[in-house]
Amino acid sequence: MEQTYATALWKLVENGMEYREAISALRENLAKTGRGNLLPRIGKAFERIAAREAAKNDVTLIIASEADEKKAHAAAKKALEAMNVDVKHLKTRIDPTIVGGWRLEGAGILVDESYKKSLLDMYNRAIQ
Amino acid sequence: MDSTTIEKIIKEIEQHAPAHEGQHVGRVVAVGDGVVAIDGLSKAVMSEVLVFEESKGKKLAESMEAEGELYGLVLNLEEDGVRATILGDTARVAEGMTVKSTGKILSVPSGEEMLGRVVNALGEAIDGKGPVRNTTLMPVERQAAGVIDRKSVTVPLQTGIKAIDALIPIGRGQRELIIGDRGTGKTTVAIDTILNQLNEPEATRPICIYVAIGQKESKTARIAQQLRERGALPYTIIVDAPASAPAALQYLAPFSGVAIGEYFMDKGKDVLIIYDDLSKQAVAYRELSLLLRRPPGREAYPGDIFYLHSRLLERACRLSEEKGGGSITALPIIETQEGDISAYIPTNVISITDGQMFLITDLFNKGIRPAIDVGISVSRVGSAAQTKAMKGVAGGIKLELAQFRELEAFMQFASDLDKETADRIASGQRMEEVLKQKNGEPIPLEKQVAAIYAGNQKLFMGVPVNRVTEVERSFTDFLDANYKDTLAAIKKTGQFNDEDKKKINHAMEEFKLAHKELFAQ
Repeated sequence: MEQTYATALWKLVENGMEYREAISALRENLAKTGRGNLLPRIGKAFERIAAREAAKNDVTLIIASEADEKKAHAAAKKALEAMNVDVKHLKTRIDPTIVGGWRLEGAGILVDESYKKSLLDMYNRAIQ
Repeated sequence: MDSTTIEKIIKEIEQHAPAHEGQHVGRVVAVGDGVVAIDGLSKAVMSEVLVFEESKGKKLAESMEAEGELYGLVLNLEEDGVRATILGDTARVAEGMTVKSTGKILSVPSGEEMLGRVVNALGEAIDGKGPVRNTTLMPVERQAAGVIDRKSVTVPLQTGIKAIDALIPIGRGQRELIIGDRGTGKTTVAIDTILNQLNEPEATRPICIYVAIGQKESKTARIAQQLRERGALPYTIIVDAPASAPAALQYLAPFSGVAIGEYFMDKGKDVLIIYDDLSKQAVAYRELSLLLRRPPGREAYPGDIFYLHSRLLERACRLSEEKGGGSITALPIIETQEGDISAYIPTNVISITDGQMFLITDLFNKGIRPAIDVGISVSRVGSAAQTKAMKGVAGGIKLELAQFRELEAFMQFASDLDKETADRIASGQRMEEVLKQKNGEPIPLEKQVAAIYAGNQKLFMGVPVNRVTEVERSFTDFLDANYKDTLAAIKKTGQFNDEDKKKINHAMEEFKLAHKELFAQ
């Protein structure tokens, strides 16, 4: 139920209502229906929605080591252009488990050009 | 790692070309009880297959040791994400895991190499004989054939069980429900039907598919062993979703079974599919639906529980010649509680199928096995799916039994009855004995016809009731030994003409003379 209230609150704010006004209206509504004790849980659910919405358009470039950054950055930008994904800021993260190459994650898409994926795919095809 | 694998890997490396393809992905936000809530995947479609990326954050060596890919099935499309069921071990999924969209609807492999194999609800071999190769992918969910693409049911499916073939005959393309309480012999009827297909010529023998839903692994193993020992496994496929399998696989298993069958039907072959049992599929679907937070209805089943079974059973049909002329005959099994056939799921499935056979605990306990109550069982296809030979003799037994049932109440007054009533009762008792049959011993059509004809001709009137089954068996053995040609003619033509009747009459006289001790009464 708190998820439903949090989603309703988010939509109100998205549609232009002032944040404080929305919270005040929600508090009144909860008090009227005897659900005032839901407010803290609604707050937490709202925080999760806000974090999810904020991260929606974030894209992260994952590389195995710093040495791969320049090459990976160029390839990733090309891939994003090809998919018509407009990214204002590309974050970079280092993950040695990908062995080499790069991996692009975020905005609901994944482009995996890591050595680990290629090696795993080859191995799985070979043992079939 | 052997040298062949190393060579294959070398070839893969030489041919490797990066694809730069993007995939739509989501993120797991909650997981539990086999259901996972995923954020994102805005382009996912219903029943789409998802793949969980278990290897993220793990080292290469660790990823290579994984048990194979873990799949999920989208079942709820929501505003900000999807809910999916996990087609495997829930423990392998973690919160935050990336989930990839495959863009494909769930399909199972099917092909000639599946015959004789035991597979799970995803079509993966589980009998330890290696993967099934050379297969075609068949969609698990598929629209049933339309009215124009169908042909009426006229070709019999012989079960080898006298009570069924004579009184509630089944045709190829029909759906006949087997319904009864636990321990009444429902599975036995189904397995005997599979075994009886050994008596069919190979060209017209149906492919059999046994779908075990929520059953004990030991029961399925016993059935597989029985089929193997009797030589029936080469034309049978077993789809197993045991009680220990996740609810999602128990829900999918019947659909996977019929999808495998449709491969053969589309090639013009006949298929027999047994769902054992649909009550357990309904319970699994209820569990899934409640976990997906779909609103519960009557008995907590979801609102589309009828549609679950109707869309499954409608896929059993007989196709027109233009579509290949193949068929799928379905024998769904439903378990009732304390004989309540007016409960929710039983009434749903009764209204869908083309007839039902009721197995009654009282009859089973009285020793009448198969415990089919022929008075209330029905086949809506009826004699349209019977050979002329059986049609000719079945009419007699129906009348006999109907008269016997009316008079059964008077049996306790046996000494006070007039001769006609007493004779009717005696005849009815013996006919009831003729319909009894040992489990695991299906009887071919020609012997059924001969036995029932002998019963109609009052051959067993001189035999004590408790010896009728023994005498009937001796008579059919006698026919096997001395009148093989007559039996072969009945089998070949499907008819029981006057010439054959004369020979059987003669055989009865010979048998009586040769076995006077059996007619001591």
